[in-house]
Amino acid sequence: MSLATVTAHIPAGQSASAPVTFSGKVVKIAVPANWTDAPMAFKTSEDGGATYRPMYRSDGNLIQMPVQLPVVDAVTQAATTLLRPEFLGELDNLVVLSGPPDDLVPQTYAVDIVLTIEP
Amino acid sequence: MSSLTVKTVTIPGSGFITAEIDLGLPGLRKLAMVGNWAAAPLTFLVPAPTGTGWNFTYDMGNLIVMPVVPGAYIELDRWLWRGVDKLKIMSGLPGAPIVQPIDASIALIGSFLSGGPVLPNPRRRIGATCVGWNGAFPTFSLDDDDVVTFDLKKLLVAGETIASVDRFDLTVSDVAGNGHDATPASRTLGVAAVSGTMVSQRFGDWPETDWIEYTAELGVTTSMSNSFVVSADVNVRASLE
Repeated sequence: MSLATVTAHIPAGQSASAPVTFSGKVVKIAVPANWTDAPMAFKTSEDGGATYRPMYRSDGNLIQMPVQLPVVDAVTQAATTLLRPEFLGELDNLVVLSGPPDDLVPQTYAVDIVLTIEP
Repeated sequence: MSSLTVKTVTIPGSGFITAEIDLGLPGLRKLAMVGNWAAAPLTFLVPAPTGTGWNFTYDMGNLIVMPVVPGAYIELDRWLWRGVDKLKIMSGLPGAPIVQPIDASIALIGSFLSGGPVLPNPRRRIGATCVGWNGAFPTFSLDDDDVVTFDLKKLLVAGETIASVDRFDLTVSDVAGNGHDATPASRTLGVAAVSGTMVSQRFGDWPETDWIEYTAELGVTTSMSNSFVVSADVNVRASLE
């Protein structure tokens, strides 16, 4: 098995990445150091990218991941990587949101979120 | 290698339940509320074990009720639908259905890995060793809920009957029975073994694998050794018929 990475880019002043396409499970999410404080939420598409829908758990709750700030530890300089977001199953595509869909948080700076994909 | 399969079903306008859904998916893993949806939770029914009628589904004694946000893409519990191949989806609760005023469509999404390699020299007519992938099969890293799917039908292509067909129930019986070994005549050599004869040589023990189903489309010169499809994140009924 080999892991792949894809990068979701959110431009400065915006709150949603361009769609990234892949085939597999997201097993790691590397959060950039300049991430503006906001939880991460997600959209995906079942129709090949025509429509992106916010992702929910089966209990009706939005799938979102809190991001601890600061993303880079001041002492160790260790960055933040979110491991194994198991609620994200096999996917073909993904949009990363800054904030929940009904309360989006524009990112101050352009950010690249690196997703590690297990095929 | 992974891919998603989508099947769209509809609760007709003025109705509250779908027709019988033959899932036909490797494993139901997600739902997408792709159409109109009048506020209502989803409930699910499966065929009654008596063969007559339908039963609501429960999880550990609790009715499975799914709140719905219109337009949502819903990740399902990866274990919940294991073993479910037929389904009806209802708008509302038992005894309290909620009519959908207009057609309400739901996309059912399954996920799986597919595309086992076709060996250049199929090893046919060698009994249980047909299952041996003999190093030609790439070593997948599978989760504990992954499932390997074989294609028994294709063992009968072109008028041929592979010798092991009538033994295939034995070949997979231990796997189907939640055992750790796949073949009666296999050797437990571990994942690094070459020329192995059992699936567990490639995949390790299979404590979570409790079914084998034969599906997939393959070429004329197939044998057991090249006719499997590896499926991951798949939970479908046990099926040895």
